[in-house]
Amino acid sequence: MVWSAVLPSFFASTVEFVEALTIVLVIGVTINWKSSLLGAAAAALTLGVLVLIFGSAIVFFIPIEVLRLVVGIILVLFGLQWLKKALLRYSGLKALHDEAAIYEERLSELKARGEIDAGKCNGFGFLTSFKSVLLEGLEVAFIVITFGASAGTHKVDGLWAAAFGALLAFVVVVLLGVAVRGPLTKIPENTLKYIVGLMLVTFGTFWGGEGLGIAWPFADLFLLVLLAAYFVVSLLILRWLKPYGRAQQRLKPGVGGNRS
Amino acid sequence: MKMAVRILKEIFDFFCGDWRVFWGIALTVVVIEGIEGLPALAAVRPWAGLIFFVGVALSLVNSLQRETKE
Repeated sequence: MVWSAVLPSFFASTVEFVEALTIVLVIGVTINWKSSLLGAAAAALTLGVLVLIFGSAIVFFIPIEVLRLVVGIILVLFGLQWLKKALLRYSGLKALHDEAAIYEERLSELKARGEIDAGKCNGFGFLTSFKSVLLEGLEVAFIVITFGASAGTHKVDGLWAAAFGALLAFVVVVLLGVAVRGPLTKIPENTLKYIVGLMLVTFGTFWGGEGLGIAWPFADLFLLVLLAAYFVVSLLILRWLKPYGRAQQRLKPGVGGNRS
Repeated sequence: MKMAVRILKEIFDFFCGDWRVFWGIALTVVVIEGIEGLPALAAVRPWAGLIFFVGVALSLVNSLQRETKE
């Protein structure tokens, strides 16, 4: 099992699946479960096909050295996005992702559309559910492909491991969703986003560096050094940002309409 | 043309979404390529890893700096 592929894939997928679950629940409750679940299933199928096509193209046609350079740089860019958002939320410069508020907001939007036949598949419900799951899942698909193909020496094993991480997250989120019967507000989304951001930037730096010709000391163990270094940098950044976050909240109480 | 620009922007937003981060990483990669490829910079080569790390961290700081001014 390639743990370096399973863990980032699991954490990233959990965050995205929680967000997708909120929309699927809203559509299910307000329109009907048929449209909601069919939309989600169609999106999951589309994502599976995308992973299969791009995953196999990467496995069979791109040499691992080239892959690590390209994937490394893209992972750094991608990871910095996650890390930046998480740090802005921790510092108070951006509102925390509130699944309960999003759920209520969407619920009232859809209720305002009027009564819908509960037995028939509704086009709007299907498309909304499909679009949400597809968009949230695209990031998961990207992480599964990149981590899977670059994490180990055998790209196929890596892809399976990363896909296993995503599948595990899917099962956990769905089971929790069924148990709670509502949006998952207890999952520490920002903490997960922060961890995934750190992991993406760490692996991206390591693989991108290798692709550029950097020989990291202690081989793969240096990943831990990089992770610790980025962790320290993020704490310093947080210390620098917090006063700005407090100042913004004093000026605009209840700051952060932007939850994206 | 507009469609092509829109698609490229969507792709950019998906993978990066921030020009400050993009140019910071691009500059870092160019510097590391120079260090690894140019014989004149061979003396700096043992520090290439550290320079890469600092480049990534500074790109993040540079991007966040804008948020403190808003």
